[in-house]
Amino acid sequence: MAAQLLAQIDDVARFATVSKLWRFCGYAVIDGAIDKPTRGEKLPYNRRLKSIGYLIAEQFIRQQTPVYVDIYYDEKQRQARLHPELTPGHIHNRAIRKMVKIFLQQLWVTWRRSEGLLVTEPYVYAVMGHTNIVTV
Amino acid sequence: MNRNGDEMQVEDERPAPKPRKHATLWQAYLFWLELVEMRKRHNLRITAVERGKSNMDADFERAAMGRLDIDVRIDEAKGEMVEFGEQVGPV
Repeated sequence: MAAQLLAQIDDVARFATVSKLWRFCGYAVIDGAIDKPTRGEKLPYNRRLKSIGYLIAEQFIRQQTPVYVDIYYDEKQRQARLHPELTPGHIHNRAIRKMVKIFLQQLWVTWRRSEGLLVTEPYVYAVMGHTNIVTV
Repeated sequence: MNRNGDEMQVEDERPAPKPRKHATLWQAYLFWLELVEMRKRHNLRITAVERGKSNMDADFERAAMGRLDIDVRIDEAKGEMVEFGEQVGPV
């Protein structure tokens, strides 16, 4: 799965910020909504890459991979608390999404550092003033 | 050459190849993906036959897939892909 991920992303230098990588992988939020396929329009993300992200997340849960699985369970609890109207499946999907985004963020940071490229602060931290940034 | 015997100039309008940093890894990935997709397609066909949704011959499918030894081929392609992936470096 890692080889598939590397093959699809190919060159991390193409993504100056982690948001660009999220967009390419189908995990971006545009004007408060996630990217979804629209009939007759070109998909703004790589469909296979999004699916690889989901498969990796499934493995994290099955293998109970430290840190990532904690992010998953914490997000599940948070979503259940904030949105009691959501179904368990919906909550699961939201938690998976968060876990994948953090995994992609770590991948982006590690890969760019290993290639000696500039690593910027996440938008939510640098601009929006969030303080609870997860580092793995 | 056309029917009048004149030389024809055909312009190649195909786009330039997409620059890839890890072209061999991509090639190995595509190879693996094609095999996986092929196995999936034939397995679905066998399932469709078993459920009475297709008039094809499931035994023929099984025999053809057996001759190809598809699982072994996929494992080989996967190994090759992982090898090229490891060459990318410690990501």
